[in-house]
Amino acid sequence: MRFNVFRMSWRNLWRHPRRTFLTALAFAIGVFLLITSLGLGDGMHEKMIDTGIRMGSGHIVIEPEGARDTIGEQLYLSKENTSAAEQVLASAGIRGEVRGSAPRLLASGLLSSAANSTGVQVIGAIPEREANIALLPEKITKGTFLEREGRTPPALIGSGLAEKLDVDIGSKVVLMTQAGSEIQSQLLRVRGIFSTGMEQVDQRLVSVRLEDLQAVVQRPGAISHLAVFLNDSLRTPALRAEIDRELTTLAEGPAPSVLSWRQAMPELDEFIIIDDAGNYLFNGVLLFMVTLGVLNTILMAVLERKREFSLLLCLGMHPWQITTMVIVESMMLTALGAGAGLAMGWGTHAYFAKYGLDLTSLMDQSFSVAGVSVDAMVYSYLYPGRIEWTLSFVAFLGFAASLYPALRAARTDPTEATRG
Amino acid sequence: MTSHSKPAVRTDSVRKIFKSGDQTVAAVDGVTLEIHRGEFAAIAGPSGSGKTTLLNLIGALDEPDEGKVWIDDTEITTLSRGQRADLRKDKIGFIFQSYNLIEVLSALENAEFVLLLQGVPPSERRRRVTEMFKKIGLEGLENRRPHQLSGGQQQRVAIARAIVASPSLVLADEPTANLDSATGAALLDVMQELNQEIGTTFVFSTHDPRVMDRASRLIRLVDGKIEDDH
Repeated sequence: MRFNVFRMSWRNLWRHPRRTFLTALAFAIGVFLLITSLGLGDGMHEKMIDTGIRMGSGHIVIEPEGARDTIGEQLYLSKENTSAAEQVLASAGIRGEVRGSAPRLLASGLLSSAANSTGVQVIGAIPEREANIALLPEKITKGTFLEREGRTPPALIGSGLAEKLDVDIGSKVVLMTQAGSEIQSQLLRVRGIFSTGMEQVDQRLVSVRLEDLQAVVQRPGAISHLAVFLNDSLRTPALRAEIDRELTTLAEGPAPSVLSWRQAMPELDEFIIIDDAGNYLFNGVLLFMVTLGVLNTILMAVLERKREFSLLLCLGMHPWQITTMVIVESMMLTALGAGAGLAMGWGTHAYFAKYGLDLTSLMDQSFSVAGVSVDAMVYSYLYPGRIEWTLSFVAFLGFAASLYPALRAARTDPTEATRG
Repeated sequence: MTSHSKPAVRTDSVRKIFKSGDQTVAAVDGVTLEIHRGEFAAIAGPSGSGKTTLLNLIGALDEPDEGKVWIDDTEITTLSRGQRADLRKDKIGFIFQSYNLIEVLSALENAEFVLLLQGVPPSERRRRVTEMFKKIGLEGLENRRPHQLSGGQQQRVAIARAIVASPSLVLADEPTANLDSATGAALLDVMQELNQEIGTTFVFSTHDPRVMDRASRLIRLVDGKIEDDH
């Protein structure tokens, strides 16, 4: 096209500034809502993933093969495979991407105080390796994280559990658990109390030092899994595959399973997929409505300009050039709206990313979804590519909205211009 | 007038029928004519006689139901929409009763629009339009938008647009109908001058006797048929 379609289209847009402004505003509001809702949705998901990962078994978990298929029988990583896994994590290609790793031993048992007793899940952990990566140390409301004082092994218990057993910092409790075919008991002293907001966790979880639990279950050096925490959660699939590959060559006997958090926490993964689908549907409907409005405006404008298109055809403009001109006008309108919407959406995203959106007036301080605690304070976060995706989608909608009016404009009867 | 030269326009038994409900009306009914290069021809007749329809058929804006039309040696009735657009761009200039300038373009940009479509380089476009503006008294109005011009000025811009690309044929549909008599006369002077200087073929429709008097050839249409041609 040799004539400057952009200049003419741009001027055409400003023939009716109010109409252009209102149509662009429709797109702007659509883009603004889309970016804001994606930011809050992604922010909530990221927080849930982070909570799930930090409360659970990390971005990647290395565990004995078949650990999830056995019921009632506890499987342990052999010392050789634990050391092979540590070696893989320390290798040059992986080390830089790992924030930390934590060996843990899991057991179930009965915790008793002078007042009461209840069934519990016990995690044996190394406090130094849990610090800065696991969530439990951050959720301590009283006392310390498994600091050893005196000869009695320390225990960190949930606030619900402390209430149930009527114990506090310094109280003694007895843990009874199975060690092979025998029942073993161990006196523990409560050194810390945590509160995660997740009822299940606060009422059932006990954390003790790894070596203390290994002694109780009579499995020196045994661990149930190695939780791996990464610097970038988006690198999880690639690193999982790499660790799995490396470990397969180094492992002795059956290679341990290397699972991503999605495999380790399928309920959370499914919740996020379903929630994302719901968000996409909502945003899709919203933008569809906006597109219909824009289509209507462009179509009305085209019908009003029949005489002008007819004139252009008289002067020798090709029908396809008219189609192009209308599409360019529509894309400029879309760009204006998308630009304004992007600025508004980005501003809102930046605000909520910094200060968060407080939903406590609508719900409790935190609530639990798919076994993971969700804070009522949501911080906006956009996954990489969200803005590009949003703008591409809106550009597509702008193009789609212009197509029918543009083709209609090209079909204008050229004799229209000769009618007085 | 060069009556022995090759025809710029030729029609052969051209017929155009319009349907309105059950009724059919032949707006142009078997018109056969030749208009030669350099002619300043008027198609006259009362309202509804088929003047505009005949101009539309000659200008490749509409297709006849029967008959054939040639511009120079090209039979336009067999052309596709795109080919007809090219033919209009390269060979035909249009002047309309209601000026039909493009609102968003300045007078100069309106006048150079066809050159723009033809791909003429900017400097050449400017040179030709400036020259034309000087010739038809539009100097100093180059940057005005259509709504900032009087009716006569707008029609001069339309003439400049029709002429500046050097078409072999200019079709003007009642070009003076919306102008007062003095402005209309001035405009006819311009068109006549261009016809004589450049040799452009003009065919215009009119029912204004003052315009008919200026024509070198008068074709009278009644009910879509040529009643008189002299």
